Amino acid sequence: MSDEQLALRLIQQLPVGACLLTTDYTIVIWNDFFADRLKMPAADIIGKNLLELFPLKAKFLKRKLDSVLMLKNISFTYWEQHPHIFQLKSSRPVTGDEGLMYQNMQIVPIFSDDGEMSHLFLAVTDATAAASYSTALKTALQQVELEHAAQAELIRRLEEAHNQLLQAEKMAAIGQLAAGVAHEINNPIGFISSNLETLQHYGQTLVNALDFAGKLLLESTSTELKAAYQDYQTQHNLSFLLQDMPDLIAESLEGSARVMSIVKSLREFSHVDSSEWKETSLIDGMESTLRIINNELKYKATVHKNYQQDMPMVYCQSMQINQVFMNLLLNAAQAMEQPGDIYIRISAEAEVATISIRDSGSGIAPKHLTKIFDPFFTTKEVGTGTGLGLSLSYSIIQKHQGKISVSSPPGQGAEFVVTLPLQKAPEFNPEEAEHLLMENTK
Amino acid sequence: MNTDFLSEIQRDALQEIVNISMGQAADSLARLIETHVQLSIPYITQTNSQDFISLLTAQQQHLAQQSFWGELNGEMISLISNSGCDALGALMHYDPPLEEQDIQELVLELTNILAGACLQGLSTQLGFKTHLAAPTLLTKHTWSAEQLPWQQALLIEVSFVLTNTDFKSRVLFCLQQDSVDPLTNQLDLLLQ
Repeated sequence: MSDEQLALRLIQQLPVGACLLTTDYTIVIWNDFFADRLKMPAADIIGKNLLELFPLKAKFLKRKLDSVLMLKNISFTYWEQHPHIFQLKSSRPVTGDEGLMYQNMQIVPIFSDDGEMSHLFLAVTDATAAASYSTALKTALQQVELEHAAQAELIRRLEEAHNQLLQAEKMAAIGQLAAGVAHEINNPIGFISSNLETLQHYGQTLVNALDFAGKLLLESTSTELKAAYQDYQTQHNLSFLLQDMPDLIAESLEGSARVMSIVKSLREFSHVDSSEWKETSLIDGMESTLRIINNELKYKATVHKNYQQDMPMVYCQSMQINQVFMNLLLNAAQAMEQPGDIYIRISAEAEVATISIRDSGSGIAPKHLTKIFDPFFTTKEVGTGTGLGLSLSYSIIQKHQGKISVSSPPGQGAEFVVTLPLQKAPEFNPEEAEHLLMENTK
Repeated sequence: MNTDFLSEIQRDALQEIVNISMGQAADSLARLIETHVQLSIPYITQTNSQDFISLLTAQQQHLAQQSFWGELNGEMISLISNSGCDALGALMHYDPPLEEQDIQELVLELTNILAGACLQGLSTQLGFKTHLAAPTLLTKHTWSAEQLPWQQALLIEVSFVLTNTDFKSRVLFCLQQDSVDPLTNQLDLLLQ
């Protein structure tokens, strides 16, 4: 066997794809690696133009070959950038899941004795194992990163829930305190009010009696008696006293009525079992809330109410919903730099109740709109806001399977719209479901 | 260990030789992309590992490495600006827009061209037999001076600029302290 034959046989047996080309891309050598795996026997291939045989990769191959021709320098291509230059079947037909072989390619210039480039040697090596390992590693890394992100999100939500719980506990404590205070005030204000009513009655009788006595005295024939009475009346300003006394009592009664109404609101608001779900009138809730924060609102805004007639009852946790109303109303009032207006609209349509609270305040900057429901987000001065009001409201409304949204067109204040389903959507009850399933399978 | 690797006279000679070989590299690139390529005068410097790392960790650049072995052992490192890659891609007949993979390929290709031409020039001039390994991308990771197995290295730096584009590239020819001797011996022979 000649050296040349031996060399050729060696090339045929190489564990890499070996292809020798002339400088015009005509194939001179095409080894078994290519021939067997591409099902393109050397007899059919030799003498053909490489670019014409692989038209889909012609542009890429030509660029690579030309760069070698021009620079007389070896060229490298990796599976990372071009995994499948040739449609070679995977080298792992049994254990692999790749389908096609991942390939690295080198193009080496071959020089003749006179130093001129005569041929191009194109070698393809199998990188499937490395590629599959690297890909698996990358996938695993991505998985780890995803899990890491999910964990971070979980921690964030836990923190959020924790903060909301703290706030809810604080609110509950304040609620209990308020309930206690309201209870304590309720008794004295009760007898003050009832005594005042009796006093009003007595007072009126006394006034009438004095009037009657005065009339008798003035009509008497004794000028002495008449003069003494007139003297007394002038000295003690009796006519004014008689006139003013009923007014004073009436005013006091009105005041005590107001105290009673506030106490009633406080008790409603902080009712111990108010977290229970029941049919509630949103209008009553809103009125009760308005009474409580009347002091905060009265100098800052005029409240305009627009309540729908025959507003249906809503199945909700009234105390929680009242808290949402309070947060929204206080925010509206705090947004006022000068006295303005707050428009409250409560209506129902189909199965949904809608509460809109709109103010003529300073509005919300567009960049803040996406953040206002985040816990601890506040634009108020340090110490004036916890940044929890809206986030708490958001979670309360979410728990009611409702929605809370905000819009703030520049220069027109802000509008919060809360929608609540009139009836709570039925929750999944495992026992009931099981029962139903049993019934059906019988 | 802060002695100079090269005497002044050796340095001048090396600079002259590199200038010629880099010229050939620029010429190769210019012919391939049919655009004028400007290159700087080679800058020969001795560096410690700390300075070397700060060179590699500069922002807004792609990094690739290509080893060479034979009678001279070392690495070529190319630092390629992010800006101007699109322009170069167009000149090298890549389909715009360039995806991440295309940019990687472009960086590797360019490193191969520049390193290949530089090394070929230098080896021919100095009479060394050398071979180039395949280029690889130096992906971003943390470098630390302690991890590098040397304290001092010889750097030969040339920068390439493509006229009328933002494209800038620097090629560093790096020999660590143990590999400098063959070079100085050869320079001495030439200078005799």
